Amino acid sequence: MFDLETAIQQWKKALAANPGLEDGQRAELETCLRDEIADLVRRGWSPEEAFRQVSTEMGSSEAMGLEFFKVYAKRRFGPPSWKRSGLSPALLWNYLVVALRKIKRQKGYSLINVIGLAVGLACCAMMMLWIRHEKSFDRFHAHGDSIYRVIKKTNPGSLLLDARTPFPLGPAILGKVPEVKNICRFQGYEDRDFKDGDKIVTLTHNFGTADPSFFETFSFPLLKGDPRTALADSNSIVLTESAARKFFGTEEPVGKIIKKTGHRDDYRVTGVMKDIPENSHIQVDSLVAVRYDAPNHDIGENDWESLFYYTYVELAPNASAASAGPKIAAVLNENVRNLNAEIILQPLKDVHLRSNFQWDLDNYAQGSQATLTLFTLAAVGVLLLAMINFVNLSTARSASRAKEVGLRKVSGARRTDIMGQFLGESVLLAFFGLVAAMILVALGLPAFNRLAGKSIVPSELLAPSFLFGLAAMALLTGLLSGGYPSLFVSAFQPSRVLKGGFVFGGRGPAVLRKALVVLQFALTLFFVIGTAVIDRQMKFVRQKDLGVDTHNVVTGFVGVFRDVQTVRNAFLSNPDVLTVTWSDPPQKEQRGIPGVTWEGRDQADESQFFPVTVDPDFLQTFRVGMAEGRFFSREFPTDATEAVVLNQTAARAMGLTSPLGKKITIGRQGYTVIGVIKDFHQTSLHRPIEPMILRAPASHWQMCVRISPKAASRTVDFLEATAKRFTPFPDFRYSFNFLDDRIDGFYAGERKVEAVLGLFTAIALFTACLGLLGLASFLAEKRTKEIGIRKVLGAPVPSLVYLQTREFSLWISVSGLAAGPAAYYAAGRWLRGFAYHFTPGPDIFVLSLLATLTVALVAVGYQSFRAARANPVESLHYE
Amino acid sequence: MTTRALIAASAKPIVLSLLITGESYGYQILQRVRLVSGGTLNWSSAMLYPVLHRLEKDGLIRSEWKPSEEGRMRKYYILTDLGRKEFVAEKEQWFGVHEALNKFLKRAEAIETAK
Repeated sequence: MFDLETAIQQWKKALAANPGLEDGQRAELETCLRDEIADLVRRGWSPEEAFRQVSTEMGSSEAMGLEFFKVYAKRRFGPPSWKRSGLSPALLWNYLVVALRKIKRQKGYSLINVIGLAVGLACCAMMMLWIRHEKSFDRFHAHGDSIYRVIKKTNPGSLLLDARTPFPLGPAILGKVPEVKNICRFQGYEDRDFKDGDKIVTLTHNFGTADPSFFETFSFPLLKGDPRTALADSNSIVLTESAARKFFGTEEPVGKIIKKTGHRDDYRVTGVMKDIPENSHIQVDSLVAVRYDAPNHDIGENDWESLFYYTYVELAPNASAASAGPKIAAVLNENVRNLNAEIILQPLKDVHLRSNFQWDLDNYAQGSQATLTLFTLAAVGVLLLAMINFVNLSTARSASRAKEVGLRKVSGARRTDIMGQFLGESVLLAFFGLVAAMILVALGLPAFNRLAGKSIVPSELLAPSFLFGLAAMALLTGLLSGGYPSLFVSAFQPSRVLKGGFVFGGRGPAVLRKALVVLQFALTLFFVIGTAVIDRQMKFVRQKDLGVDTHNVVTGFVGVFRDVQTVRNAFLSNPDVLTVTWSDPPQKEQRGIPGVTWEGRDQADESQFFPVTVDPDFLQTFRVGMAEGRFFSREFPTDATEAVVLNQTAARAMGLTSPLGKKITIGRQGYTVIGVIKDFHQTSLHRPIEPMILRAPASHWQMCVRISPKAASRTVDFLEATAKRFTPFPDFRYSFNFLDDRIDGFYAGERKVEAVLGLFTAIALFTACLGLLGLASFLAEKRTKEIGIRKVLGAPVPSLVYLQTREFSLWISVSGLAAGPAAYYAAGRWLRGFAYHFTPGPDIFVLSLLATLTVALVAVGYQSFRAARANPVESLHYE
Repeated sequence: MTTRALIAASAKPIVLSLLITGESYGYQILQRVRLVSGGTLNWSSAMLYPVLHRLEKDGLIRSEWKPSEEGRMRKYYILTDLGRKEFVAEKEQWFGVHEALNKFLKRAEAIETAK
């Protein structure tokens, strides 16, 4: 309900806020307002309408105040004194001088702040560089937006996403799916050695194979040769610029003949392409036509079953990937029985970071969005720690600025001016930090590249958009960390601070400081626990009993020997060679086989089985036990073609209670189960033990050798030399590697995470302790007299140290309550990526807390000790 | 519509001419300006009060708080002797300008119609 009197009172109040109007003037304006309203009401207006009309007509109090001011002002120009201009150069200069003076006078605190901010900003800058680099992948292709990779989604028991597609799929969809303008199949694999005459040339990357449309589809410029015909012939090969230089030096490469070691084919160089940039997921040194490479892998033109190649499609302009997908799937399902696959078209730019498929290219360092997010959060966490240091130290030290603030206020500074000044100071400090951060990043870049396996060049540091991003980040950091201190400091009452009654910050900031220290250590503890969990899991995977004994086993690709038995005997002639087997060693991933049926199979059962190629010496070499029946034996020649051994999981999956003697078929081939082997791990511990079917090898290709642990490297040399003696390809390079190293390689991603996270943890702990040190010295200073008096009264040094560190220990312990559950939850999520993992118990938490506490106490302990040791005469004498 | 500059310039002689007939207060002045000008001039209070204060500061008028008929206190403005002299000077000045302006405008109009 409108009340005229209240409305007028409010109006008066607004008027009173204006410093330009004096009491008499306000009273006069009020009479006028009342007169006008009364007049309007007489003429039939409602009081509310009348008030509104008249008050708007009169204008804002500010405008009126200014008019009245002009009447009495001595100066004709310029704004009134209560409305000073925002920018006063002299004052800005004074702010800067005061800020620099303070930084110089409080060297310790400034240093803690700048170092903390620099480290935090450096971490963030490094992450920004990394993210920029990762996001730049595959963005350089001219038609990049219309290129997609064909991903197959099937559901045999569990969801399976496969980036590989059958060889004939590409040509089959061309013309049948109107959206598809062009296709290109690609695969790159390690096959490094070539021969130019007698010279063997080793390439650093991959042997690539692709359709002739490669150069049209992707933007890999050819320096020499014709992009349309470069890959047209069966023996065409295109080399990269640096590969060509390796082969031929400065000679003209086009037209030259080279050979692949271990193969009979000649290749004729038909083109030279520019070196492939590092931020491409397609990495090759050389490229041959895919149609002529497929037979090398026993893949025929119409082989819809084998999966080896990746298919890329270029869609017509304006065609939608969503509508093309089902059409491609229809072509695929038409040709492969019982597949029911769906097709997902993956945009080219997503290949690097968003490929999370069971089967994918593994010959370049694939990125991981999850890892990137994890590290970015870690970097922001470190910056947050530094910002908390800033808030804590500046509110703690604010007493030293109290008089300055009081004086400024007395001389006319308003709260916003003080806030601006203090915010400016924190931004200034943040920019000092930024400069230091840039230096840190430039110095640390090589180490970071090694750690992350990247090659980010220092010149990227100077990219304008990057610098702009950094500046924005520093500005934000300054504003965020200066925000609370400036609010706090600008609220000082001049009358109180100038009287001197006000010495140390009030209760509010003290409570906030405690809370922030707790937050800081919660964050740090989270880092520590996280690193400890990863470390423990890595130990777990190393020590877990895999069911196979992989120690002292070396493995290598040895090519096809004419007489396996002779080679085996030659190997075994060395007493340090214990057993030799042509069997599949543990792989990072396993490849399932379709079309397995067995007696009593339920038609709906779509369990996937995984083949492992073994020969009779497998059992002895890997020291696996049999659960039932017998293993392959040379005494039964039919074993090589008619027998299979199941693992326990497979027997269970088939629902066979007495598997021995049961018939199973794989494809069209029939087998008899002769035994069940005890379960063992054939893949990384990320995956559960799969149902496996062990068969004799069709060809002898991968070899595993158990050697005696003494003189291991000499034995490896012997193996390599002996293999060379028997091979039909004398120029093939043999290398045997320890299986344990290879198994370690399964967890390379996790190890990288561990290394980087470990670094972050160290930095976080350092930053948090830096802040604690600052606070401790502040508190010690504050309690100088108390400590002096206690000492005079006979308190021993240890009790004084305890007095000062007690509080910090309490804070850190409290932080454990917050960090513990959060860290355990996160660790649980991470560990779920492993089918087999250890269960984190309370010990990790307790040890992490103790370790953090110890480091923190060492940091504050010295400060406390020094304060406790000080001569009380000094502290009490002062005054 | 009268321009701001013209309103500002004419405010002083108008206020003086109204006060020469006797004391008055803000709202009354506003009303009279509206009435006498036949609506051509419609001042706002935000414009009038600063003018009154300036005239008072220059010593042309003085003010007095007195109770009104309704019993509320009201601030009345009264012309001073200096104000009366100023009014005469203003009057002559404005009539002079008015006369000259009249001639100019009439002449221009006559030439315009003769064309």
